[in-house]
Amino acid sequence: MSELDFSHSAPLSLGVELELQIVSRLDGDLTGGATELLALIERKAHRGDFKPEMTESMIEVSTGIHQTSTSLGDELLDVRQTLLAAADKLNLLISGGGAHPFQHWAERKIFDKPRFHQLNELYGYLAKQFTVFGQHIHVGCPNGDEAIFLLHALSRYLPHFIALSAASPYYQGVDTAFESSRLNAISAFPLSGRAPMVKRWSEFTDYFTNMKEFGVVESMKDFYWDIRPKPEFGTVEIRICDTPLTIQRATELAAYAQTVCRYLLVERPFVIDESLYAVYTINRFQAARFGLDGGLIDPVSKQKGLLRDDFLATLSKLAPHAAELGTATHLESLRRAAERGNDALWMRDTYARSGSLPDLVWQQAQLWRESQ
Amino acid sequence: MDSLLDLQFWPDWPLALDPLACFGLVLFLAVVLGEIASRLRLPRISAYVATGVVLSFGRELPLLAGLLPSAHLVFELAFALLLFELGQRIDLGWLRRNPWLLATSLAESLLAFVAVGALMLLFDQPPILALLIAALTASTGPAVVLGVSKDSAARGQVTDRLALLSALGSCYSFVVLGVAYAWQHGETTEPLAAVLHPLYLLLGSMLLGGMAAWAVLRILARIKPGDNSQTLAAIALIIIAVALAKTLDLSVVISLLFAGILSRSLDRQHRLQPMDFGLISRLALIVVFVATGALLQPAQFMAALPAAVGLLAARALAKGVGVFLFARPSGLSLRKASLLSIGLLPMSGAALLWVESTAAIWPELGAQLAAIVLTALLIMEFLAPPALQFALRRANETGDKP
Repeated sequence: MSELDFSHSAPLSLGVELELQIVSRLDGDLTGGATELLALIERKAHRGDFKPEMTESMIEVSTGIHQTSTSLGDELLDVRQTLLAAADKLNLLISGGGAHPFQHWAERKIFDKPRFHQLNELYGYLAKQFTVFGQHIHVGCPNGDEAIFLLHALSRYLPHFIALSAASPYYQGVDTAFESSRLNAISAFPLSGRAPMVKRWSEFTDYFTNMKEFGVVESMKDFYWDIRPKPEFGTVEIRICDTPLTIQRATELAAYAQTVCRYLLVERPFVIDESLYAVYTINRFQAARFGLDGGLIDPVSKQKGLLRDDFLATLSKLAPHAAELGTATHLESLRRAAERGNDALWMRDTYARSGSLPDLVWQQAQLWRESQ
Repeated sequence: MDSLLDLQFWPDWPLALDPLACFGLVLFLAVVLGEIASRLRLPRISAYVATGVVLSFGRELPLLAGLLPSAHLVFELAFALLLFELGQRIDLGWLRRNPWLLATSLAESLLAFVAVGALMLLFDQPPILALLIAALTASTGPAVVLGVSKDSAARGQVTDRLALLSALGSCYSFVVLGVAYAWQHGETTEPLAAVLHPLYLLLGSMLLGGMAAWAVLRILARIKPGDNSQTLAAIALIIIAVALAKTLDLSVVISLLFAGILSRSLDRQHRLQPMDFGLISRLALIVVFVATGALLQPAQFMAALPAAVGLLAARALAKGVGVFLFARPSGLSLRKASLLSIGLLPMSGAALLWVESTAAIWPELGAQLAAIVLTALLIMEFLAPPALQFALRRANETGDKP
C-alpha cells in the first residue's frame, strides 16, 4: 500500500493530538525531560499515545479514534492523569498554551532522533524557534475526495479555530500584541500555509508525486499546512489551533470541528474554488492578532463583519448537527468562551495581576492540572 | 638635590603591597586561568583550585602573608552565599511526590558513610577518627555541584537530582559531625543530650534558615522584581544569618541551605525566581575554590595516599550502589543513574573548615584527620569537577556548545 492510498475511516470520527510544554518547577522556564517522561510512561499500560517532538522540552500526546467528543474528552482526562503522574515523579510541570511566554529558543535542545536532527540541519534556527505548541484535530473522512472537499471548505472556518484556541500572547518574554503569536513562528516555513487548489484525491496524489520528484518533500509530514489530509489515518487534519490551556477546551474544539464537518458534508453550503482563498491570509492574520475581536471577510457572501458575530451565527446554523452528534454542551461552552474571553485573555489578566511571567507559567500549569 | 630619586614623593622601595593588591592579583590570575580552562573545555572551578594551589606555594612571601588570615572569613561568607543559591534550586516537595528520591539519598549517604568508616577501621584508624572521616566524606560537595552546573548552564534530571542529593547529604553529614564533635569534646555526657543535641542542631538551623527566608521574602516583596537591590538585600541577610549561626553554634551549612530552600517554597507569588546572584556568585565561586586550593595543605600527602585512594574508591562504589538501588523506582534510566553516580563524586570543601577547627582543639587528632581527608579532598578537587562536567554533558543537560 503506497503512502497516498487513502485509508478508510468512519466518517466524522475524531482524534486529537496535543503538543505540551515541559516546564521546570524551579523557574517556570522550559526544561528538557521528554526522554525521561516517555521512558517512565511506557513502563505501564496506558490509554493514548505519547511521542517526542522537535525539542526535549515538548511532548506530544494523542488519543485513539472516537465517535463522540464526550468519549474523546474522557480519554484526554486519562491521558492527563498518566502524564501528570510521570511528571510529578520527575518534578516537572506540564502546561498548555501555544508558546512558552519567556523561553529563549536558542537554549532548546533537539530531541535525539534522526528526523529531528535532519530538520535542524535543514531549517537552522527555525527548527528551534519551532518550539511552539499546537493542537491537531483529525476528522475521519469516507474517502480521499471528501477529505479534499473538507480541507478546502474548512478554510472558511479557520479563523474561528484560531481565535477560540489562541493561547500564545507572550513570546520570548514580551507581549506580542497577538492573541496567537505561535502562527507567526509557523509561517516562516516554506511549506506552511494553505494546501494547493486541487479538487480530487487523484489530483492531490499527482501534486504530491510532483513535489516528491522535485526532492522538496519526502512524506506528507513535510507539509506544515494549516489543514492537510492524512491518508494514512483516512482523516483531514486541522493543525491551526494553539494547544489550549485546558483539556476541556481541547475537547470543545474537537467537538466544534466535528460539527462543522458534518454541516459541510451534509449541507454542502458552498462550492469549492480558488475564490475561497482570496481573503485567507487576511482573515488568518486578523484572528491571530485580535482574536474574537478581529474582523472577518466572508469569502462566499463577500460580507465584512466581526469574527465573534460570524462564529455565533455559525453556531446557530450548526444547532441541528450538534443535536445529532451530541456536541451541543461543548459548543455551548465555546459560545461562553467567545463572549467572555479566550485563553489569551486569561493569560493577559493573570499576568496583569502578578506582573511575573514565571508566575503566569505556574498558574497555567495549575490550570492544566486541575481544570474540570 | 643629588638625584631625582631623592624626591620625597616616591614610594619606599621595596614596594609594600597591601592585601587588597594581592586580592586583585589573585582574582586576575583566577579569571585568566579560568578562561584558559574554559577554552580547554574544562570547568572553570578547576582553574580556581589550581590558582589556590599556586598561591599556597608562596604562602611565606610577605606579599601573600597578609591575605591568608582574612581568607577564612571571606571563604565562609562566599560558601554561605553558594549554599543559599543551591538551596534556591531545591524543591523539597519533590521528596513528597517521589519518595524514592529520599530512599536514594539515604542509601547513597549511609552506604558511603559505612563503607568509608569500615575501610578506615581496616586501616587501623581509631574509631573516633574513622567516624569523623566517614562523616566528612559521605556527602557530595554542594559548591562544586553548583559551580559546575552554573558554569555549564546545565538543566535537567541529573542536574536537579545532584543538587537535591548534595544538599540532603550535607545536612546528614553536618548533623552527625556536630554531634560527634560535641561528644568528643566531653561536653555532653548525659544521655538526654545525645538526643537533644542533634535536634538542636537540625531544628535550630532550620529555624534560623526559615527566619532568614521569611526576612528575605518580606524585603523582596517591597522591592521591584528584578531590581539589583533585591539581590543586595538578600546578600546582607545571608551575611547576618551566617553570623547568627556561628553565634548560636548552629550549622552554617544547614541554615543557609534551608534559607535558600524555604525562600523559594514560601514564595507563593514566585517573586524570587528572577533573582540571580550573577557576577557576585561567580566571585563567590572564585573565592571558595581559590581559598580551598590555597588552604589545602596535606601534610603527609604521599604517606596518606593509599588510604585516601582507598577511601575515594569505596566512597564512589558505595554512592553508585545507593543510586542504582533505587534508580528504577525513582524514575531514572540506568544510563542516567551511572551519570548521576559520577556526578556525586565531588567532596565538600567544607571539610577543610572542620579539619582546621579540629586541629585547633585537638592538635593530634586534627593532624591525623588532615592527612587523610585533605589528601582525598585535594585529589577530588581536581578530578571531580571535570568528571561532573562530563556526566552533565553526557546526560545532554549542559547549555554550552558541544
